[in-house]
Amino acid sequence: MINLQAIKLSKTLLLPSGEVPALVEFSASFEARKCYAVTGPSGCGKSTLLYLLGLLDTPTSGEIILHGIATGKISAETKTKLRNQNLGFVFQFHFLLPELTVTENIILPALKLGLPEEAATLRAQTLLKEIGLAQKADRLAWQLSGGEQQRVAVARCLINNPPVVLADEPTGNLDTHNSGLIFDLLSHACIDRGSTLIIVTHNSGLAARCDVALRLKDGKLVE
Amino acid sequence: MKPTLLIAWRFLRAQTRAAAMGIIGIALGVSFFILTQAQTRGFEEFFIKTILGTNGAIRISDKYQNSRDYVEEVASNNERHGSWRPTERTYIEGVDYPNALMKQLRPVSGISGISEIVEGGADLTLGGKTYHVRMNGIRLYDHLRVSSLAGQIVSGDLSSFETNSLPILVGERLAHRMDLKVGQKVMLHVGDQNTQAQIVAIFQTGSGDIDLERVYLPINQVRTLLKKPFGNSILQIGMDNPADAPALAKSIEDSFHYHAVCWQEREKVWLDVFAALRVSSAITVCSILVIAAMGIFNTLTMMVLEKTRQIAILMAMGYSTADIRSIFLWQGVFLGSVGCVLGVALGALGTFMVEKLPIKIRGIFSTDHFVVSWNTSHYVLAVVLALIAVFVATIAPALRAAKLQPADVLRGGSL
Repeated sequence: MINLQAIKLSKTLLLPSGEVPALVEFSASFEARKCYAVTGPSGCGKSTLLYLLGLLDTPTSGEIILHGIATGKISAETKTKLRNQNLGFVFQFHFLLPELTVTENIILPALKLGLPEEAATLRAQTLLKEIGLAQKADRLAWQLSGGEQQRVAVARCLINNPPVVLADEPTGNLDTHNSGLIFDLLSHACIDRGSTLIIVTHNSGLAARCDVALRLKDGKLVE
Repeated sequence: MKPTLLIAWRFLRAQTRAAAMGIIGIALGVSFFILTQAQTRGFEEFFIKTILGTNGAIRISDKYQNSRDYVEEVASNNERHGSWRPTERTYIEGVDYPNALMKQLRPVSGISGISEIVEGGADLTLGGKTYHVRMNGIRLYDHLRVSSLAGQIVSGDLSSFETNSLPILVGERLAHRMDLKVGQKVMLHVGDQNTQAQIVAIFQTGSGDIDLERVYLPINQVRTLLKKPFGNSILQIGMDNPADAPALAKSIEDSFHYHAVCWQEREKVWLDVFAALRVSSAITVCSILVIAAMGIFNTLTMMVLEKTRQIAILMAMGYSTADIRSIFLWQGVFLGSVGCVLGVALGALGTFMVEKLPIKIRGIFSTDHFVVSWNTSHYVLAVVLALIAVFVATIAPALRAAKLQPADVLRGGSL
């Protein structure tokens, strides 16, 4: 089953130096229960691709089909809803809200989805057990270590059971132990939930553990 | 709890000091606004009460002379007939047929009473001291219906005014100046007419000039002294709703061609002074609200700048621009609401305390303590102004936050 499809996706960035093609006619289909690694040198368009696939940015041309919905001409409001229901994000930095507790951070997407607070909290508790942080549920986010914060970010991205999880260098700030832990969490969670994991990484070890590796060079898919 | 409300509350709680400053600023602005309005409006209302209780809502005096029509008539006739001379016009002092006019006016709705007054100057003498006074000849029963004379008596008894053969009411300042006491007999001189009157009561209107110069006598006595057996009257009108006085005065002028002056026109200078004071104090106090709003604007703008990445991730997880906007607007609502509640409470407490402060004012009215007005509109206006200030201070950062492009922020760009 194809969860996400990119058809001739291009993005040209307007920089002070002029127009720079960040992504050129990228096409790929992303299946459920599969893990995709996007690799390539810095500035090759990996993050641009991820933001386009995550409906955070608009392509200059091409089309993205998310869970059977063509997203090219839909409104910003619908895109926001689609992101909430179908996409999970993990970034290099966790971007947790330090003023909120661990549980509150995790349930934010679920509350936006319309889940009652009790049900969302119950889901968060299950996820916290999965990531081994059940005992720290009521701590404020800033009181956790970097690795723990990133695990909470993973739990937050999974709470709505999104069909597609997009991870932009999720282990970039972590040590080897935590890197492995985060990748395992993401890949197992995706396989268990029937989701697609697309992970942008420089880490060749992690890329090797993915089902498919996509290599970008100068905005073009080279392999 | 709505997630945006939860986030707003937590953001604000993390900025305790800035939030407290914002709340204190709003509370002070609201309370000072209420306090100054309560005082200025209080004194204004007291002044209005004094003048209405002394001179009524409308005074009808001379036959209305429409000078503009008169000039136009002369000009037009000169054009047609060359050196045309208008017929002499006799000036008619006072209301010439008071009973007929009163009969016409009594059925008019909104009029609570009409008192016929005959005015004239006289010299009042006691023990070698003489003071020029303004006699007001009244029928007590009628006059009490259009004035607060009953409540203005500070010494003596009004009932004697009806029973005494030659009663006189004197003002408090005149009594003080001439050392007059209730029961004493004074002499009144008008030209070659002299009469003796007994002081039955002393009144205090609060208006310095009136308390010094005005004396009340039975209308027939004054007519005799002034040798004006009929006409020459002034009609003082009391109204159920004094605010309607200008319309009624105009209607009387149009219908009966008498000069009718409402209290708003009569006391325009003082009323303008009070209005100017009220607006001036409101403008001054609003500056506190503006400063408080600037503080809130600063706090929220800094918050937006500090939290761009958190805002971007919220957008990535499905929070709309409206949600992001509402996170900041909720903070404004909280600061504004708490500030207003505190401000209203402080304002009410301050007003209550100011009312107890002693101050001796004589001249345009008489009071021995601060006069305040407990008017709900001051509280509503203060809250509305504060909420507008907070809204203006909040909306810009909120819009700025909602305008963020998550991809740009996460890519490392700026606002």
